Amino acid sequence: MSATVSLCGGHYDGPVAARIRPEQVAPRTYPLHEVARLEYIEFTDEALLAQIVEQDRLALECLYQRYSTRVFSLSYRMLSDQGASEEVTQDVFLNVWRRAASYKPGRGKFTTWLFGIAHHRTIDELRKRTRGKQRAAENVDDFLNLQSADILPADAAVANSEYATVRRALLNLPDAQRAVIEMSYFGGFTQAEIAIKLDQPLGTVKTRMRLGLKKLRVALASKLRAPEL
Amino acid sequence: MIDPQNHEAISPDLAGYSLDALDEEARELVEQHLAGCEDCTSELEELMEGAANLAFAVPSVSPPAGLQDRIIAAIDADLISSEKRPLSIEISRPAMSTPEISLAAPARIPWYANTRLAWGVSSGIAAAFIALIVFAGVAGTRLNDRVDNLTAQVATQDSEIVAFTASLGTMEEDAKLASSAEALQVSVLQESTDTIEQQLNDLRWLQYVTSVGSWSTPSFFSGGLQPQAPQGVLITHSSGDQALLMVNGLAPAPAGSVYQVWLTYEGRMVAGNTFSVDQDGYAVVNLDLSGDATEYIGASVTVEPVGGSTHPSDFVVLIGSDQ
Repeated sequence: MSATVSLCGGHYDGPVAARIRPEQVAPRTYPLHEVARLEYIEFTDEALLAQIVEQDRLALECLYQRYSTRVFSLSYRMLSDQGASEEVTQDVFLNVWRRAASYKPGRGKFTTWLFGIAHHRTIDELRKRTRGKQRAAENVDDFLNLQSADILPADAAVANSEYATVRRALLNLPDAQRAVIEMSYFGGFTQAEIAIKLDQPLGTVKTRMRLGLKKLRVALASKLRAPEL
Repeated sequence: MIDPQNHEAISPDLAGYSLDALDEEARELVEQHLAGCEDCTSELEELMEGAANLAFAVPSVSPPAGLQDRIIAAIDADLISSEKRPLSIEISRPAMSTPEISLAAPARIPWYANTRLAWGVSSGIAAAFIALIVFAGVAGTRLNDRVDNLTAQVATQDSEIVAFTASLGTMEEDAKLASSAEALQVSVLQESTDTIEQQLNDLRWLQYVTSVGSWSTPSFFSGGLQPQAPQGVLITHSSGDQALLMVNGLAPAPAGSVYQVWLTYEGRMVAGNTFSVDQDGYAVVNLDLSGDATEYIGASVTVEPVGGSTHPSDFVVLIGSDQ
């Protein structure tokens, strides 16, 4: 017997747990209080975070189901290391658990806060690895080519995804602005390092970053949908 | 050295800050500046939003299946370590002794990690400690809160009924006919008050029986560890003929279904009553168990088709086992 249950805005398509038998009491295999879990499908990210402040572990599981793939993907893309990316993802969600009260709804969306934590933690790991060493992407052209390699896959199902939408918005930026944003965000280069590598004045790099980010925000403001609730 | 209050010098670094592209010194300067500059704080919010979009610009890779369990295990460790700190609980209850309790709370066993959910207390624990759990534990606190809330509601509605009835009493007969709507309102209020009073009586009775010896120690069971998780309390009479279950915080059963209680004995499960909960997720259920209510080793509540089942479904919402 199996059932399909939508959970936490994600999708659970697993088997319904084994029938209870007196000799086999194994709560982990049961559909854990799905009644309560189903209620959370309707919760916004911010409402789930408020539950986490009250130490509601189920709310964290729901946020994990909504965003763990995105956090893990970002970290994996930057570190190219499965184990380290798992560690980063774990740290990010533990941070959400421990620091939920520090999130200020008036100061931006939950996803901005979450991905800020994820990126910062990944950058820390990246810089720790490359401290005192040659950067892996020493050749700037190679680095930028790598970023451009995963643009707009032909698969129609993916073409409308958030991934394709953001890649498209990035491609629409002037090359110079896109380059400094990708080098810093994905490559972990500081703006001072980028100025040296591109042989541009530091002020120019700062201006390009600022203009590029603002354009990106405007371009995507109405295009990225919230996670399916 | 740049002055952190120098807006012209610091604001160009906001984009670098939002991309984590500053060295440590520049980052600290920005953070000091942000503390006193609302304009920069607002601009940074916009830039951070732009930067957050970039998290979508990488192909999706699913994390390994076991990662969620590892995170939950780490959170459980957090919870246990925070619960190991001594607690001081002060309880205020009218018309009953009000103990001030200082104790180190026992570490809760994670629902996931435990193959047998701790649900209640073994019979060897002293009755005083049982009472303490009832009144100091989460379920006990909820019980007391509920009694207080219901008492307040009854008092308020009683006052309204008295006021309405008084106003009707002063009307002439014709006016009384015209005021049938008000009369209906009184009737509805009275009915609602009766329902609440019934709940109140159930709860007061439950509080009473948990403190006297002819009933078993109360066994708690739960649908999870979070504060809003549904909970149940099961007590059995020493005669073995009767058990009483109170549930709280349980969402209404899905359409076309009801909740059903199951008691687990060595080698078999016995079907108990079906029940529904009210809009607050509350219910008190009397269980008729023909002489063996004291022998159970576990209990659960499942979702079943209307009319109940002879075998439990897989949809378990509350579970506990006597340890």
